Amino acid sequence: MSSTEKIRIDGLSHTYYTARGETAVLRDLSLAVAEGEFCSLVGPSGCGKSTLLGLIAGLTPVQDGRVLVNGAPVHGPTREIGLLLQRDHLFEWRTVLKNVKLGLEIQGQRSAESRGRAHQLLTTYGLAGFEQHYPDQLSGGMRQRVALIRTLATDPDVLLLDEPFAALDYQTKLVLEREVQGIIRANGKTALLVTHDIEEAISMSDRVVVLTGRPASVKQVYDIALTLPAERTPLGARNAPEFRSYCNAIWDSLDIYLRDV
Amino acid sequence: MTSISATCDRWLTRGAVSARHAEHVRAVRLRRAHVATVQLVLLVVAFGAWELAAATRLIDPFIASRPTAVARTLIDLFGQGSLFVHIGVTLYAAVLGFVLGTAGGIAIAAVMWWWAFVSDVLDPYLVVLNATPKIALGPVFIIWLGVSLKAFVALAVSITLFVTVLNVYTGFAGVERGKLVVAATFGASRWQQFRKVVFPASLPTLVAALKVNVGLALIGTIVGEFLGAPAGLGHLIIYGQTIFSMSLVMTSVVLLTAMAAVMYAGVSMLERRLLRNRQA
Repeated sequence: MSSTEKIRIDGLSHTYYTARGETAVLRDLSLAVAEGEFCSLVGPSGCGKSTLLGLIAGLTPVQDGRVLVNGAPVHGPTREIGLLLQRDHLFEWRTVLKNVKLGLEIQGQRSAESRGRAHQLLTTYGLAGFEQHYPDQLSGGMRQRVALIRTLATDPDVLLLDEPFAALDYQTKLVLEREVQGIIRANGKTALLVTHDIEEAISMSDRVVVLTGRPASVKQVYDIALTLPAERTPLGARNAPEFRSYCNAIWDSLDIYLRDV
Repeated sequence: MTSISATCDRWLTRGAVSARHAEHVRAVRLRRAHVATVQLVLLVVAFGAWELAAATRLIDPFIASRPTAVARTLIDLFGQGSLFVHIGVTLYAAVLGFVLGTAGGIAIAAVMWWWAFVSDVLDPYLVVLNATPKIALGPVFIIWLGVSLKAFVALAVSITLFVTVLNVYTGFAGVERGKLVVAATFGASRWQQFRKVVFPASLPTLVAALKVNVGLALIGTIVGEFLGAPAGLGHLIIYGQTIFSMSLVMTSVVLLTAMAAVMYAGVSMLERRLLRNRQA
């Protein structure tokens, strides 16, 4: 098992310091994600889930504990990791194609292969013919797909998804959930999804990790085993007989009361 | 008659792809033509009223001059061969001050973005220097640099520089954090963050700074020339005041206005090129 471990987090603690004082956001958090696994993190609002992703992505320096990706400690951003955020943050002055190529440009990947991959991804995900459009000419769902392709274009092994569907309407969200899950499974990528949406977490994941309130640590882990037809889709998963009981169990485990919201 | 209106209509609806589209483009173009016509009428009415008031002695042309006198002065200056000398001298100093002040301001703003420490240190000084009337430095520059182009340009630069730094830095610092995070996850260096995110994202701010600086650079140059320039529109204004020729003063003011309009048109052209693909 350890040989296929993609992400390993050991005893991770993190504190934010301001002039007024300090706020502990993570305390002694440990977690491992296997290669090809789709793992979701749910937790109360403001519990430090985004901080955790920032640490794994190498955007925030690790204070205490260890973060390993492919067995090596993380020092700054690497090509192995791609991050998808809630907002698409497309550059309004770049065409769709040039937005998608941003990562390739920054990493100096000018090979025909990487450029071909950008075109290929646009075609595969229904954006052929939109290469020369500007972001403000696209719908919200299309914009988020462009952001996803921008992340995939540099071919990362691990995808960190920070509530990427939260800003979308319900239908678009279901369609994109299916697409993203399909892409990730088809390419054998490892995914760590942060979400507030319990149903989204269960329907997309192999495993759901419930975090405690701040400072966050792992409260409970649910291995998701659903009785499903051959092809697993997020919408299909919602119809599995076990789905409701997972929802209830995770909701109880989150232990959110009116005083918390 | 009908053939003329038919020709007009064909011209107004050129390029239309359907009857409904023709209606739309006709309305858009007619509106644009109306705006331009009213603008022109306003200009003619203003100058006409000025001339009429002077002709009927409602105002004293000796004090207020009149458009025909301005036109005569223009022809005289042209005849003496000095018209374009004065325009050229002032335009050169103003453009030089504009370019140096704007470019310098952008460069300083970039340094401040790069090193937050520099920005924190400079902040109060910039705010105070920006609020200081730089015109007060005019005599200082004249003494240091002589009654010369250098002094006029220095004054124009001092007026444009600080406001550029403040506005452009605010633009740089205000770039959406998420865009920088996206670049950072790809491993962007500081220089790449600046070149690929911060600078292009701030282009609208830069263009706004350019627009403001056209006027400011002209102020700096003219005030510099007031302090004793041997040529230039600022010199003409002071000379006109000395010999009590209001026509000369008014002619210079009209020329300055035209110069500002031309420089502004240049900036607008640049704006259209730079911001072609963005929504306002």
